[in-house]
Amino acid sequence: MSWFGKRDRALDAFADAIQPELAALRTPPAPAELRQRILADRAAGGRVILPVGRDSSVSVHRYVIASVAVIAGVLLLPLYRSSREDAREAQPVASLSFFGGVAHAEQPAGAPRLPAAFPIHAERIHAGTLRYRRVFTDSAERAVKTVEGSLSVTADSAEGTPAWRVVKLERESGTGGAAINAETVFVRRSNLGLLTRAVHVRPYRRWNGINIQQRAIGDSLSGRMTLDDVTGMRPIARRLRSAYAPFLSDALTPIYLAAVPLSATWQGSLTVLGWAVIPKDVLHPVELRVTGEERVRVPAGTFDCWRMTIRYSGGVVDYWVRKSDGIAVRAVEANVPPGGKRTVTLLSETGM
Amino acid sequence: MTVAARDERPPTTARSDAELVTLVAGGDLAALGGLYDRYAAMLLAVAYRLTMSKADAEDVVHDVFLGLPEALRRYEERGTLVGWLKRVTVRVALSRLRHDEVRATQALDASFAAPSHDAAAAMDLATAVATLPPSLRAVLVLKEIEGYSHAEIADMVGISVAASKVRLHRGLRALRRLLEER
Repeated sequence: MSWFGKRDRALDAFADAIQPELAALRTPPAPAELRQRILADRAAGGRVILPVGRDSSVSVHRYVIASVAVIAGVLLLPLYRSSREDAREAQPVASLSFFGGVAHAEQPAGAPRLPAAFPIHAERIHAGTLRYRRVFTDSAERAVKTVEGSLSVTADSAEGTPAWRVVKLERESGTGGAAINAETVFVRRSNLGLLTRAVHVRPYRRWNGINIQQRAIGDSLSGRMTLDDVTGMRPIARRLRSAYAPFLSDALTPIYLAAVPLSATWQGSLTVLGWAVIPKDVLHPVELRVTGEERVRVPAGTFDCWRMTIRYSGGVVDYWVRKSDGIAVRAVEANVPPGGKRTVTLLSETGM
Repeated sequence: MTVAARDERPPTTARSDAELVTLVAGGDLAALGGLYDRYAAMLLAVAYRLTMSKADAEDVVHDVFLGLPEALRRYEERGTLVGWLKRVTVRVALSRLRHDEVRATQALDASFAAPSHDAAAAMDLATAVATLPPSLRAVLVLKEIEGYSHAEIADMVGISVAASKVRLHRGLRALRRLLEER
């Protein structure tokens, strides 16, 4: 987008992203009845003088009319919004697997206070597979839900850019594998920047499943949401404010800190991307602080870890990552409604 | 003989644009119907995207074809016929919007807003486009959907190239803001 010599790359990206959807807007067919009406009116002597030439007389009033139209649009917008809110049923919100649980869906109030946790050692990311278990217990320490998940990292490319393909696949035990949360993310190998993201959750609330597709271009996040049992889609078009960088998807979180230079006093901030279908689920800022060093024993082994505290809009998570490579091995979130706990542990690994 | 000669006339579908133009300018209703068969769907799509109303779009196309015989007598063939027809349709549609600007900000024919059958979700983009001020929507539609250059848009809408760029910029920003506010 060139406007008075200035390029707005974000608007360019938005225009490129939205163009296929604009072009796909349906238009009515030309009805035979209209043809008959035209010919009948013409035969009956109907005539219309068409504005074939430039109609300069209109230009005098154009700006006044346009202003009226804009004002009318502004005045009518609240009516349009309220009626649209009544019609909308799907209010999809992402849930976080590692850096939190169910985030409070709301727009962040202010910019992050801690330094941005940029992945300055992206070269430390390697291909491999991790297997995790997430257990939800109630206030009596009884397991009420168990989710087995795997995370595979594979060298790939996306549109010619060297990328990591990160695939998270979670199945809730006890449902015969029917409940699935799958996420595939392509990130640049150079800086772990998001390229594309696809999420499928089945079932999702009262629908058979939900699908989220996202694409990051510049500071714009675009894409679409579809429901398995409903025809149609909802477009995604959000701006990612640089103050909240870096941005990462949920699937990347267990390995992300491998690229960050952790230390005994390290603290930083980052933002986990929501599904971005609704305004309140775009950015989920997270604060991370190293609070100590501990040796942690999990099914995958015993590891010397950095103990960390993660704060997000939904609460606080105790988090342990290996000192050797920054891979997450354990996460515990207490006070998970209704008074329970959520524990994530590393079961096994290959290639990491 | 006269009847036989009339029957031997080639159908309008087999005639070139230039032949149809000549016939329509002479008042031939069959040729007018031939032009309708050839271009009405395309012109109706343009009109609909500008007005975001099926009824208004049909009225626009009705007026265009009703006035076509007289207008074609002034057609100078400086470009393609379809380009000329589109420009005329755009002007008629914009003229209609100017006379009913309030309704234009509301109008949206739900049954044609998107290829969906149910999801209220699928209406968002079409609704957002319909919410744009007509002057911005016109440039956005002509540039991003119809694929015209700013010079062509400026000629069709009757504004300068710079004004067309500004309107597109504002239209895209407004559209993005509307989608962000969903």
